[in-house]
Amino acid sequence: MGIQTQFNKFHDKIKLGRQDDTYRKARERDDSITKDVIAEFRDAGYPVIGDFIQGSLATATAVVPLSGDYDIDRALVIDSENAPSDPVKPKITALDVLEARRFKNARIKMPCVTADYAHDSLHIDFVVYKKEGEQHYLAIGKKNSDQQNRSWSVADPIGLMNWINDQSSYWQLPSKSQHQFQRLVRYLKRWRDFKFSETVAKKIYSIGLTVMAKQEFKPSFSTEATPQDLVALLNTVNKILTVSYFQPQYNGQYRVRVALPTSPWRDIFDGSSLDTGTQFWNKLTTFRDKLSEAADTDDVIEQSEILKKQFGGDFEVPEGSSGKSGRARYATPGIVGTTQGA
Amino acid sequence: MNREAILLHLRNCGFEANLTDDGNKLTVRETIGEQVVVLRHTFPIEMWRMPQFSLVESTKFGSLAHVLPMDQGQDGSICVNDSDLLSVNFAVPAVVYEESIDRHLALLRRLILDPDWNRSELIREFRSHWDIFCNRRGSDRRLYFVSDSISNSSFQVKQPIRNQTRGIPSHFVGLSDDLENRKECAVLLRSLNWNDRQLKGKALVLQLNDLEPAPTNLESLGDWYLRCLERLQQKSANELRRVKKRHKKEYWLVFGASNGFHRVWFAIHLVSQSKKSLPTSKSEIDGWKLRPVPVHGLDPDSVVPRGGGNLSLATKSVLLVGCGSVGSELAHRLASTGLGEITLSDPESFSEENLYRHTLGITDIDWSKSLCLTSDLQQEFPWVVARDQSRRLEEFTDITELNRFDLIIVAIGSPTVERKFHDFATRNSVSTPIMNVWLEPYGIGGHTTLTLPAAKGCLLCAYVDSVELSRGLSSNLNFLEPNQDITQNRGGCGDLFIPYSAIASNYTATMSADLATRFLLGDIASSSKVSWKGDASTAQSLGLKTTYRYTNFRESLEVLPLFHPECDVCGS
Repeated sequence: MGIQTQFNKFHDKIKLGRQDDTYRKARERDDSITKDVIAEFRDAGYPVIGDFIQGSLATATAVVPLSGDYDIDRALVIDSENAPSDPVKPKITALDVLEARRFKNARIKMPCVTADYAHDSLHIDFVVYKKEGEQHYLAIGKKNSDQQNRSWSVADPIGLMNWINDQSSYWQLPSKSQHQFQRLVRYLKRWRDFKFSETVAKKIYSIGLTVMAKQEFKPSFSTEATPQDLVALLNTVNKILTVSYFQPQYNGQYRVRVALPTSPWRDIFDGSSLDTGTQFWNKLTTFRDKLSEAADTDDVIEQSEILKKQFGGDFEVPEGSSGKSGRARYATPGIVGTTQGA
Repeated sequence: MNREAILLHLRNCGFEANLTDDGNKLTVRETIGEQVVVLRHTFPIEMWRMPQFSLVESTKFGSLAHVLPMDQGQDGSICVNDSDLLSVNFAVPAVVYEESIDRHLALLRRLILDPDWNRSELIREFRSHWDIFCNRRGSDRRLYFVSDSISNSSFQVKQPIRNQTRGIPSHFVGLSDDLENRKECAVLLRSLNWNDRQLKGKALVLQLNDLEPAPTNLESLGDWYLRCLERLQQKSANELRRVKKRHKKEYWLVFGASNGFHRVWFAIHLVSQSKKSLPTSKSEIDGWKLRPVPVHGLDPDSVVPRGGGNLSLATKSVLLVGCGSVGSELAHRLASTGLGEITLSDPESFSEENLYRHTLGITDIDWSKSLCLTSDLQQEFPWVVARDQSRRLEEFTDITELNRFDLIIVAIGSPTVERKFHDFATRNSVSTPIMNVWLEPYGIGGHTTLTLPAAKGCLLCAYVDSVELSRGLSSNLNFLEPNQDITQNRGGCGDLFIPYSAIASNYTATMSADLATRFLLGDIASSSKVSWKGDASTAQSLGLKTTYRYTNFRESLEVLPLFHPECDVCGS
């Protein structure tokens, strides 16, 4: 087998979908808590007119966390007419529900309400929007923020998801290219989780990696349309490093800036430290070099060993001296019509 | 053409050029060494090629290479270049004449001033001069002879067929004794009407150590012949002494010699009123009439390389399963390479539906395809040993038999049978490489894979599914997406067919034959694939979807590695 088979196995191990068994408890908690919060919102006079999953589960880019802590990213939308003028008010309502459900560390952050459910290794983020026409506004503000730091801020969560899921920029194999992009984001996230300390990894935001990967994505397929994830990842990372996301500072340090591709167009890494930017640059450069080293060898075992050091133990090194699996892999359809004659 | 303008230009260039009084001929006079040469040219109505000049009174210079005496007078036609290989600027005729005269004079200068080079060139073009010499003597009947070895010392010569004036029946034929009863020569002998001819005599084959230029006049033929006998190789000289003891009224002597590039043949037919021993000296030659005879060899050495074939393929043996449109073309291409043996197998009979995309014709309808094709090959390529079988691919289960071939070619257009046979061959360690050949409809393309048993890359590499990375059912080389209805049906269930033209099968066959030949010659030592990509407009106008490979394929006819890294058989 070649390196793509190893990438496929790796991807099968790290990918996380909302319907996966590993996410079952999180999904059940999410459904249950969301139901309670919606009921509380209704009783409070601002009924929920819509809710949706946001984040990586909505864009098929979620990974199984190395820490074992699963995230729930739930968005609640209330109608603008019924929305209180104070954006923190519905967030407090949500916080009350979470506290009543024995969540730990429940607190209101500027963009969301967040809490941990230690028993099930769950971390939940609730965001609240009000909707006026087609425009969403994000409830900004903490529990004790003054009026100046409380606002309904213009946002476009649906537009962002649509942008990530958009396939129109791929001029060939749009569906396969999008799948390759999704795999690449998952590889990048796993690389981050494996290579950075937990503290720094949290500051290399997933949405930042996703936006960079999307903007600089270089799909790669063989002439026979077999995906070449190693080449695609190498070329994409190389492009990320060569465009202007990383701005050199003094003393060999770097600041990372990635603008949201949709409203409100803010810098995703706004407030990020030079230390984070520098570590990010340095490790990403090393990652690129290791990918290049793997691409330069034909031996799948050597390639896998290099990649295992970048991604961790979920990237398997095949057994045997030549990488032969010894097991035939048969096609799933029974019969296929071909176009072959003589 | 303005002849005056041409003349003026030539004079301005320093040539001593003149027009004849009627203005139809141009002469150019030049001194080479101490000799004066005059070139003469007759103006054509239109300039279609480089102007040709003859050498006036060419015989006074002795024998000159590339100067062929013409029938009338003593002028010699000068062969400067193959005029078809020259692109002439007919818009500026004066410059063309200048260039042509330069080329003619340069050649003559070298021939006259460098006698050694002239002689070597005369020997190199011996055959042309000999044929012209024979023709002037009125000996227009050639001797076509067939021998599988130059070491044969004699062969039978048979008469032309009475009243035949054209083609091989109108000429003598000769055959070495050992070939007459050889089974694989039966078709060749039929083609030569061997059994319908009367025996003329036995020809003695004599090999010369070297050649001298062909004679130019009949009077000198006797002396020239005697000089040839002085150049005999030892074995031939011994044979000559043995033959000389017999007294006969006529002798056929066939001489063979190398001209430095290849072997040339010529014959002298000696006839006497009474039985005498073969003349070998000046005193013995009186009373003998010597007739020069052009000799044309039909042996492999003579015909295979000249036709672009390769003699080293004569020891190679190929099994071709599938004699359809592609297979029949492929068989012809392979045989034309000089291949030694080809076994053709197809269980089906030829039918009229494929008349226009098959090499077989209307007289072959309802006959076994492989049988008819075998016969055609032997007719067309006398030195290929063609055998026919009527087995399907899956019926070739004898490993020893399969291993006897140098190459197995599968041209059946059935991916299921082909993949299953591949499994069978792999499981049973068949050591013969296997080539799979197929095309796709509407002229969109064709593909060939070559699997070498001990090398990376196999047929299944061409079937790796690009999504699941598993063993796919449709080849990843294809230019049309699978699961599309591409068959046509005109006469019910038994009449389903894939629409493609003879041109498409021809392309596919030629491409495959090239790969096969390169492999058999040892130029390709790894499992390979090759495709040709045609136009997709017809397929697309019918709503058929092309593959990613079709869009991105830029390597038509380029031999590429067959190995696919995700193939579960070949590993990495």
